[in-house]
Amino acid sequence: MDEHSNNQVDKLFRDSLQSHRDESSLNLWDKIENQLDEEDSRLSKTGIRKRFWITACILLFISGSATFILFNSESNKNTSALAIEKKKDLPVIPKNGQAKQVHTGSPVLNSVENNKPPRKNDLNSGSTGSSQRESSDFQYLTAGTLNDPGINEVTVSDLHPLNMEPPDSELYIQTGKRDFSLKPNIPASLIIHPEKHSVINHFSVTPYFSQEFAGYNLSDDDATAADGQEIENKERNVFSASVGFYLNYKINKRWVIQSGISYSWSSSIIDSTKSFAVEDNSGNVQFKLNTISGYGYLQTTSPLQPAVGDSVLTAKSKSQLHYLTIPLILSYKIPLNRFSLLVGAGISVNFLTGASVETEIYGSNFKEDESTIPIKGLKNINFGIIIKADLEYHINSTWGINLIPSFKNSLTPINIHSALSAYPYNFGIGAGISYKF
Amino acid sequence: MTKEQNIPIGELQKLINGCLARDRSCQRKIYEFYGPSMMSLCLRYSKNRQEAEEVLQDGFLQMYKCISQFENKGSFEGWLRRIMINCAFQKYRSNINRFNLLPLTEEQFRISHPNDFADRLSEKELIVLIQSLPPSYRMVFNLYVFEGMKHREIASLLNISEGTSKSNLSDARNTLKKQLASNLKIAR
Repeated sequence: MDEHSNNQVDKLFRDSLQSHRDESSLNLWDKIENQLDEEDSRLSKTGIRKRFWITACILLFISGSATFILFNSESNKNTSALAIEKKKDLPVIPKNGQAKQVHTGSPVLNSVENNKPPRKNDLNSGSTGSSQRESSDFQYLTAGTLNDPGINEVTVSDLHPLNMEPPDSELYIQTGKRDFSLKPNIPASLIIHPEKHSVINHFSVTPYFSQEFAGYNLSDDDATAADGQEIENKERNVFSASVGFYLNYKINKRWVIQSGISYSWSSSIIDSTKSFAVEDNSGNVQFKLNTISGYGYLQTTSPLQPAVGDSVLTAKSKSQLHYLTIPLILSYKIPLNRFSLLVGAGISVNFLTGASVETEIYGSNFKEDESTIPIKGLKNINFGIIIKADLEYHINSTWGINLIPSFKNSLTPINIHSALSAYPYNFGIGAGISYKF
Repeated sequence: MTKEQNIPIGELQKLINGCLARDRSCQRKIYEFYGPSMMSLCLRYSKNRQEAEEVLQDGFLQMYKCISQFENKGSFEGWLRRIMINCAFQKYRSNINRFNLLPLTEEQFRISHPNDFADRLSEKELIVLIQSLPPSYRMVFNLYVFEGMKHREIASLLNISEGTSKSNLSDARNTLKKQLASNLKIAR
């Protein structure tokens, strides 16, 4: 009787109101339209910002590539460039004794006007600096300063106008046409060797480790999904780090292109939360644990299949994400005595290598075993920007110590079909060593 | 017959595409078409017309924002209803700790609707009766009677036990029965 009465009440309301329609206030559309206008304006600004960053990255990439190609082709022309290391001005011997001044930057190669050809005995090899003999007033080049700090590059093309070539016996500049190894009577220390292939000389590598302070920019735009705000409140990042190396290519004295590879991992703690059973894509009903980055299906030891709407309580869980990152950065070098500072920006491609959640499920009266479940709903690849500085202390001409602060921000969300669109970012402080080839 | 059946599929798709392009005229047409039925739904889930309009406004804004997620696999109206219910639920959750409305007294109900009781109460009166329920009763009643949800599903959605869901439904029905009887008596 009571059941019948209940059904009647339900039926009365259902039948009467199922097809009921009611008009809203006349000005409600105006309110909605105003909000839509605001939303359009906001989206437009966001779109402009996104386009700006994408354009900036593309321009950076193009300008970096163009600069690389331009300077690389210049560099290839000078593959037989000579590195003459000397703090002081270097005098050179012209073949015909006609001295000129060769400008090579701040220090210059000086020679003195002299029509007399050089005499063999006047070559005082092994001494440093320049001198002008009383017996002859030409100047000469020494090879004893090869390891002096301070680099002054002179190329063959700079020297060609001088018609310079080594005098007959003792010295001195190997131009590639002349092989001094065939003349064993010339001490190797007296020969200024040509620079090795210049491309090799422009490379350096910087292995590093970076501790990072990570977070997420979140966008909660799925009205039918779980409450994103709740997920956000329950999860916090606790640790993030990366290890890898930068491969640096010096385009010229100021500009450096950096690439390389790094492996990064980050951990988040998710507070104890209730997970509800839902139907997954294959029709199975499973308990779904939502995280900021994605979601996972809990594995229960219960033999009973849960029904949609059932819930379980999970203990504090730990989610982990692992990525391989390949950056491309264009940096500007600022020399500071024994230090140098590289400031650069670029883009990165991040490849997902692993994502999991470690969690424990509480049953009604028991705590089940800990399990690790994969996180779903993550993109395999996402793109980001990198802004970094690299302060290097030069121990010597080969080795350096680096302090590398950086900022990374994802340009594209790392997940799809999740309650939240997550754009991770992090501030990192890295330390490394660099080796110049 | 649902409203959607009155819109040719091609026309509906055009309107959806227009909404995707943020075409204001298409957005308005969708609002004009589905607004009245959604308003009815919102009225049932809200305590009064003002709150219902707030829910309706939020729901349509959400729908325009997320329309790219509509995959054409099911009914557009069904999808829109889910958004509206979700918005109503959000409103319910934000209000639930702030107040707990008591049902309208018989006197209040009679004063607000003095004339129009016939043998059957009109649709508006029925809605007012539902609105007069405490929020938790109203939510359970709506989900059970109109959305056809099971107590287990309602319990998980509202984060209450199944027993509480059943109890709320029973109390909601009893309250409504009393109100119906009382108001029919007054009408006679």
